[in-house]
Amino acid sequence: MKLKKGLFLIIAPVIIILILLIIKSLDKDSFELSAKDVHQISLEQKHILSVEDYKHKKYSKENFVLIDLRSKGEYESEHLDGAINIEPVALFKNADIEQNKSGVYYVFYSENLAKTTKTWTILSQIGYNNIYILDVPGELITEDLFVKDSLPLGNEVLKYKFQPDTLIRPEINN
Amino acid sequence: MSPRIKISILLVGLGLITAFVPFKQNKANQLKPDELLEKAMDEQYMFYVDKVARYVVDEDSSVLIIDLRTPQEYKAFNIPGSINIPYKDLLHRDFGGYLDQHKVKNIFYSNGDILATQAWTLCSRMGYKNNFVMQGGMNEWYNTVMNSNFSGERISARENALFETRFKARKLFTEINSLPDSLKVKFVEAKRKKEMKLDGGCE
Repeated sequence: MKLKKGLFLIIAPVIIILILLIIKSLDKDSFELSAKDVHQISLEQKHILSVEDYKHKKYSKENFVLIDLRSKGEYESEHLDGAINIEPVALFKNADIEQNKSGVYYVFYSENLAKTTKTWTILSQIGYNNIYILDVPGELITEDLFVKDSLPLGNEVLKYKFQPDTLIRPEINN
Repeated sequence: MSPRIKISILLVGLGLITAFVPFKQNKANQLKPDELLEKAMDEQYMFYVDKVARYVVDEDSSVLIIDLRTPQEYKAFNIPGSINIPYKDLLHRDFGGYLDQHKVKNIFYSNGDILATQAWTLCSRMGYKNNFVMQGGMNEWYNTVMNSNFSGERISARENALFETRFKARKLFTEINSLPDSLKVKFVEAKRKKEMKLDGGCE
């Protein structure tokens, strides 16, 4: 009897701690990946799709779903062909976005790439590995974007060249 | 069973549980995903280029401008006063002291928005405070500071101040980046001394 009581006193706290840990691990409002993990993923640059990349993937019959992260009003005013509207704050609760569903990929865009990138970085840390950023400036979000011939350079491509002051560096003229 | 054995078994049990719990970073300052998303949507963490130009012209010591581009890109030209932390090395422990601090505002920039906002979001996730992003990056710096000209007929006092700041920032950017690398640091020091003398301060 005394031995059973002793064992109970040991096992009970261990079981309580285990239960608490299981509850904690089931908490969906927590991050799956560390910041370092997502930093490593981001270095591969595979999550950024140019409009050309997107068109190529779309036409190769892959299941790419466009997600417009802008407000409902902006979306209703004009949006990319085939896009559905989900604002970032609603993403966590939205059943349209299925985490890591095989063969389904979500491509985010919004009025600016800062907003799109922040959303991607947070969802990637939650564990989504089937989302992409569409590298398109907000002013080009029009219904006919995918049929345009000329498209802008990527957001991280420097579009200007530094011109040194030739009075300070006269040898540049020579 | 003696109390010593009971405590030993209890400690072994706790040790085993700890061993199987995945390692997580210190969560003292960390936000939950929905809290981080809410913070990320807050525009106060994005600085317009004009605001950064003002900090540059004033040589404001309460900000630290961080260039996330590659060392080659940084060496070619950069925003005066900025330091280079290449994005690929962002979370290296050597740079932890710059990112996790409470003294100055860090302003990240890259060529566009993607790298800087990724860096901001990762740092915010880790609980680092005082980090901001220069909206539009170097492309927007060029667009606004280097290439803008006033085209109206009458200029208001506010616009005048804005264009004066842009002009000073442009001049400083061009002067410093035109110098050979060996002279860049000396130029900044000499300029500071000259201004202190003009202000009547001491060296």
